[in-house]
Amino acid sequence: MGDLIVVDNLTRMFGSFTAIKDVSFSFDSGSIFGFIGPNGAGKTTTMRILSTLDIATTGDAFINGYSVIDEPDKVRSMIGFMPDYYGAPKNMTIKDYLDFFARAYLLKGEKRRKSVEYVIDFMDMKKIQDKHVVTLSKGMKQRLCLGRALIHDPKILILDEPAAGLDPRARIELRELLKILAERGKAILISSHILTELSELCDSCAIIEQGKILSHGNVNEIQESLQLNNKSLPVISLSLLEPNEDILIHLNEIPFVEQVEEITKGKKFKLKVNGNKNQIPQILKNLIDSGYLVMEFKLEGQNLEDLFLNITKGEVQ
Amino acid sequence: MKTKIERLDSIAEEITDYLSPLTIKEVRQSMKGKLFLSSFLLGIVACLIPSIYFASTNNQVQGKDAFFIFSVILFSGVGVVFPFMAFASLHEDRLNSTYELMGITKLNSHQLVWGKWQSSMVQVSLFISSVMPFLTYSYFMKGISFISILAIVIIAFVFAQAANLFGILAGSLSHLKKNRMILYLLFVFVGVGFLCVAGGIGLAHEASRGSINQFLDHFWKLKEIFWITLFIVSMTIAFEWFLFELAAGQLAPVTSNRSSRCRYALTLVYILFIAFAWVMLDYLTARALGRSYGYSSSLWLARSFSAMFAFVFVFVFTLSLFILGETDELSPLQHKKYLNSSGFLSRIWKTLYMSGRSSGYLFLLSMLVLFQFLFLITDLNIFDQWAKRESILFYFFNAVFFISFIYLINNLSIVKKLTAPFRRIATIVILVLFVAGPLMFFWFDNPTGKSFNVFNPICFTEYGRDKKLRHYYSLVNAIAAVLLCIRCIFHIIRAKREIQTIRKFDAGERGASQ
Ligand SMILES: Nc1ncnc2c1ncn2[C@@H]1O[C@H](COP(=O)(O)OP(=O)(O)OP(=O)(O)O)[C@@H](O)[C@H]1O
Ligand SMILES: [Mg+2]
Repeated sequence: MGDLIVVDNLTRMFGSFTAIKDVSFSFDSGSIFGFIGPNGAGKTTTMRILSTLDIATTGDAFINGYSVIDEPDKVRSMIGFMPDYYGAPKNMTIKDYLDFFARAYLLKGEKRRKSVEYVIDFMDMKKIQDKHVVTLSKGMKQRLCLGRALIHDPKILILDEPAAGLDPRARIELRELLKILAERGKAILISSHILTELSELCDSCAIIEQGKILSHGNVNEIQESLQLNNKSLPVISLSLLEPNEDILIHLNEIPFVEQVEEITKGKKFKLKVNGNKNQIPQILKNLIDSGYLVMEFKLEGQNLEDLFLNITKGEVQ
Repeated sequence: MKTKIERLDSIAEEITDYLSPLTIKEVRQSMKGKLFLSSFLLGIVACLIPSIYFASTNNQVQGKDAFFIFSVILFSGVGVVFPFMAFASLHEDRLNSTYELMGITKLNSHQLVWGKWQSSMVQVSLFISSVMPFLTYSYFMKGISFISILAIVIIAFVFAQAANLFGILAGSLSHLKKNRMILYLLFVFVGVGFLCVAGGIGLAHEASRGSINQFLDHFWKLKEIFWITLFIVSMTIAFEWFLFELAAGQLAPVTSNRSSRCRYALTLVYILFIAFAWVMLDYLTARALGRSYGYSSSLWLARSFSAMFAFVFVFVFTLSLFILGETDELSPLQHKKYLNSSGFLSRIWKTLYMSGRSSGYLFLLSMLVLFQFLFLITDLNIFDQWAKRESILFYFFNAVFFISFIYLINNLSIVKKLTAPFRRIATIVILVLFVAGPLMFFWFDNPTGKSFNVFNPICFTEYGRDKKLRHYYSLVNAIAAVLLCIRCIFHIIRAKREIQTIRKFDAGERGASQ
């Protein structure tokens, strides 16, 4: 229980509707925690409670030992919250905006100027710092919003879908920024339904659906436990450089291959493998030894996205 | 080496460290959006048009007419344009959620409201100062005294403070449901705007006839001058404080205590009002009995006293809307404190000062019951006199009755169940017809008001003449008051039981885990 962030049985009801139920997880500084779930799962609700913007019906959460319910003021100075909407006030430049929030966190004089400059540099907004906030593109607004969350150098960052709507380059940049921040000892809670990203970024994660945590822990552990539970046979996708009519017969002769599905004639296949993991490389070796020009040979159902679909399958209404 | 300008710049920066961040933000935004300039130009442009007309017309325009026209422009700006601008700007900030994010910084919601208010008052000041030269010009056209102009400008400034606060309050409520929002907006911009502009125009009219000079001549000689001034000033401040706290409470995040301060402000207003009512009733009794008891006997005093009663109605109406809009979710901090409180008195205290719809009702109603009681006991000897003046006081009784009715249909479980399908509509209908309606009609002169009697089931002319009827309605009101008292007591007893259950549960759980 020594973790920086401890969420303890949070439940939030809106009238008779339960948005989240008994949500618990915890993580420590220097780590990135992924919060994954489909639309309406309750990610935003949980994050708003952690940011003291909303109150839990029952349960509590502790940030650095302070309860978000009993001592919201102490919690507030430790967190930077980036919401999933990006409102932009009129007639304000990026610099004014950041300067205002720095003042709002009671930073004074040199300290304030430094932190504004630092955030502008860190978020690489030097060139656009005199642009009006309303005129910014979505990606820039998001960047500004993250910068705003950083302005008082909080120990904890709560980011609600920071990658939504970013182009691929901006996503990679965001990932790098978050990694740097984690290295500097910040605890980062990040929500998303773009899962492939989180699988590379997060140290641990929780999967939430319909307000309940389905699975929670280290990313690798979750993956392994899922594979153990996964009773269906591993599937390999295979593609060749040039179409080859003979390969279908050859594939069916390989001992562990249970079933072959031809996707593109003579070129792309899906193989269902019967047996344990160690035998999979044997199949590849066999194909190469037989002179086939293999372009792609990939085990499917192993990234977080597939796992996610696996776990949440059937529960989506 | 820093240049002089750079050094000056950094000194300016240092100084801004001591200002409220909100003020700096608002000022910056207004400068960038040229709001200050346009507020200033608005006054000049609006006043230039009639001035050009005065200059071009062959008829000799008198200073007092010019003064009247400029005052109308002044009050329209102050009562309608700027409150609306304050509303629009706050509403926009709330829509783009800037305020939500500000709520979790180190700024508190009072600073947020204060910043908005300050910046809108700066705009108003610019507007007033742009109208000032024209008012001075009317002074040089002869026919209007300098003191009248000064009085009008001061009044406009005070009106502006309250009107802007109403605008800010409306903006702070903008997360509410649409129909309630419309009700508020109507109230603020039709009600307050109308009162402010109409009141301002009325005053300007009086002033242009030289009444302000007469009034002041008379006023300085009054024996009660100190007390009257004290009352007006303290009431204005208390009421503004109340509006301020309401807006701040709405802007604060749910996790903070959103309502105790509103209640404190309210209590102060109530106490002031009770004191005032007491003095006034005493005064009227003295007049009725033909004795002066050391009061100045003047008709205008009686008239302005009864006009002040209208204030209560603006107040009660705002209040009931606010109370109805309060959320049921107690602020958790308050809730815990409440559960830990022991003793009957402290529980009553905490029930009243806690957020939440039912405690809001209780607060409002226990205060109204107090009034009811006050008027019932004073009713004994002065009602005859009072009734002949067909005073707003009668509306007041009815308002208590109907508000308690609203309370019952919303909070008494049996009545609540029976009236469930039409509860909301009934609440609004009762409020509009029996509370807001009479309030609006009061503003017409009494003869006009009479023709609107259909809206008031208790016809007050009859009420005054027929002793039996009067006693009957006193009885009805007394019953309402007693019912409400009983309801209050039940509420407190139930709260006690609830606490006991929770304590037992807590103890059991702790025992189990040990
Ligand atoms: N203020 C509210 N009143 C009523 N219901 C709400 C409120 N806020 C959220 N909900 C409901 O709670 C559930 C969870 O919402 P939440 O916004 O937390 O989902 P989410 O996981 O963030 O989804 P998304 O990926 O779409 O952002 C939804 O069913 C939503 O309708
Ligand atoms: Mg969300």
